[in-house]
Amino acid sequence: MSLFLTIKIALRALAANKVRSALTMLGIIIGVGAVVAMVSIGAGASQSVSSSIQGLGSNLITVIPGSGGGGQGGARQALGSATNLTVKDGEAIEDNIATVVRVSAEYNDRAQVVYENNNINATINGVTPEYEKVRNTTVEVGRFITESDVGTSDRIAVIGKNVVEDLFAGADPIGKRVKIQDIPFTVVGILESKGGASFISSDDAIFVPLTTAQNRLFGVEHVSQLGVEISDSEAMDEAQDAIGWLLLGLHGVADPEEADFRLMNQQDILETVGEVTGIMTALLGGIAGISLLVGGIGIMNIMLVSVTERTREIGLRKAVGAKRKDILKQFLTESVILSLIGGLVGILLGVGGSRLAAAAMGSETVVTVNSMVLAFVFSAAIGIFFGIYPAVRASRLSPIDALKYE
Amino acid sequence: MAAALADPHTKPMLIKVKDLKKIYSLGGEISVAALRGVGLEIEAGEFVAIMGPSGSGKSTLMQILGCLDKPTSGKYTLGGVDVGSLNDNELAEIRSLKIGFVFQQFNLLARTSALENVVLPLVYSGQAHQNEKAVEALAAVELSDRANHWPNQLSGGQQQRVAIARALVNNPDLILADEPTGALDTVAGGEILDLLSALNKEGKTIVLITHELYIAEQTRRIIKLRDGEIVSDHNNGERSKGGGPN
Repeated sequence: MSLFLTIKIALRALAANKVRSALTMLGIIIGVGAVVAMVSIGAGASQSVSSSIQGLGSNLITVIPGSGGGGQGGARQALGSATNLTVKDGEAIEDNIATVVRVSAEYNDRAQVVYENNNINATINGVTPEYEKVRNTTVEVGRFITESDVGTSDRIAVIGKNVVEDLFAGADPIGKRVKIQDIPFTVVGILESKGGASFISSDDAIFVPLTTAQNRLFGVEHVSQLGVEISDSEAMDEAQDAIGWLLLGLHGVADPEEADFRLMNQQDILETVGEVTGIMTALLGGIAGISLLVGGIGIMNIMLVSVTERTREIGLRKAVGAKRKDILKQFLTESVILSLIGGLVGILLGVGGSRLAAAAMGSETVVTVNSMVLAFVFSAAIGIFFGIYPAVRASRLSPIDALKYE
Repeated sequence: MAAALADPHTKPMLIKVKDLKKIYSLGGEISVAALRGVGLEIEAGEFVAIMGPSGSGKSTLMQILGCLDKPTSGKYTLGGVDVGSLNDNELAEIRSLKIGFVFQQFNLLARTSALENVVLPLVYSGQAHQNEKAVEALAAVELSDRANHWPNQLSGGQQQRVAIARALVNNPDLILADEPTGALDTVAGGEILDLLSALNKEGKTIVLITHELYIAEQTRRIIKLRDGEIVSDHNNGERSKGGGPN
């Protein structure tokens, strides 16, 4: 029998019980819709995290100190607490490695900041002019920290967007005086908001010249981290090795296992975040997939009822010459049509649902063609998988028993 | 004229049944013998009635003659083919090419036009010119004007005529009619019997199962079954054209 005719017969059988067919499809519609919507929400979250990490600077290698203390027997302290990383290390990296464009030496700590009656505890970032380029930062109003600010350990501050809100209640802060640990600073600039995840946002920080932070505020000689910008993403691995060996030499450490610093590659962070969001997406999709499974069981249920109801029809078809495979094809086509139509409607619903979620939560969602194709193929597979058993049962009916069936 | 020289009793039969037995097992050690060794031969072009009360085995015999079921033992040859050696698919092929069925309950597909019902055997045997043949078969039962009607828009007699058209459409060797008038009133039933007689006169071999004597008397040969055995097999004198009473 031709495929066209098989499909025509299947559609007619489905149309004979419209409500039942529609309810059966509903299971698949909800399942596919949920998978498409969930995967798009997951992919959207992944994309927004990735882009905010990339917003921190491209081709970036970050050097942080290793754990302090230690040595023989002593208790090791937390990673990043060692005091052996200095501005000189940064200068050496910039001078000795060809692919290094610039190095941003930074010292950060928390401190009390007061403006009139407002009082906040903020992150103080001691930075050099290089910070602006290395960390992809843009000044919205006023200016950033300059070479001469650093040279004279000037008491000026550039503040993040949220600080304007918290400390100045939205009033224009330029030229105002704030007290950081009782030392007065003049606000000279506001940074453009970066948004994104708060743990990596500069919106909450106050930026002062590196030398000011080291000498006037916190009384330290070392830096918290070095941001190293590399000219080319291809050269990242090579540059990372070169920085590693250079610093080992400068710090007099022979064994890389004993290094008193850590190198973090932007790419590594992206990959880690990608893994985490990937797991989240898979989890969401998996939960939605369970509803697809339930929808498939619904199809099997209805097809079994249909086979029983149409036993006499099957008997008659066999009596006039239908072979097992003809009956098998007929019932399988019905279940596949149910699941495919359900799948198509479900994709539309999922796309609509993800748009709605994007609008409601204010986050972005990404509907990928992959997830739609996957959902469609998966729903067809469900139609076949859950249609096989009822169809086989129909095809195995003996014609005389089927004809006698009341 | 070589055929004339041959003994007429050795010419190939359409149906040859020898020592046919059918035993239904009802589970455990209980079994029922529906047919206890039936032998019969039917020539092409005959119009035969198989009679018997309920439980005589006539339905079982029809199912085996119609290749819907296999005998427990014995031999059944249809048009020179030993049916006992065929598998399910081959039996389905025989049914679609060589046998036309007419059932008591018509067994037409609901929500399907008369024409599409008639076309069904052609669809499964994959023949050419399906629509033309179906239109022809409907014309033969004088239902051309009802081709696009659904079964529920037709009277009982009309539905049975659609079923006969469906049985005819493959130009089968054998038409098996199982109580074809059982669900019809006398007038409609009479029309169906007339139609079957007319088809027989055109050369179709027809085997009719019934438990009514007045229907059986419309045929040319009556085989009576009782308790799974043939108790009588005689030509129906009035209607027979060739051959005297045996």
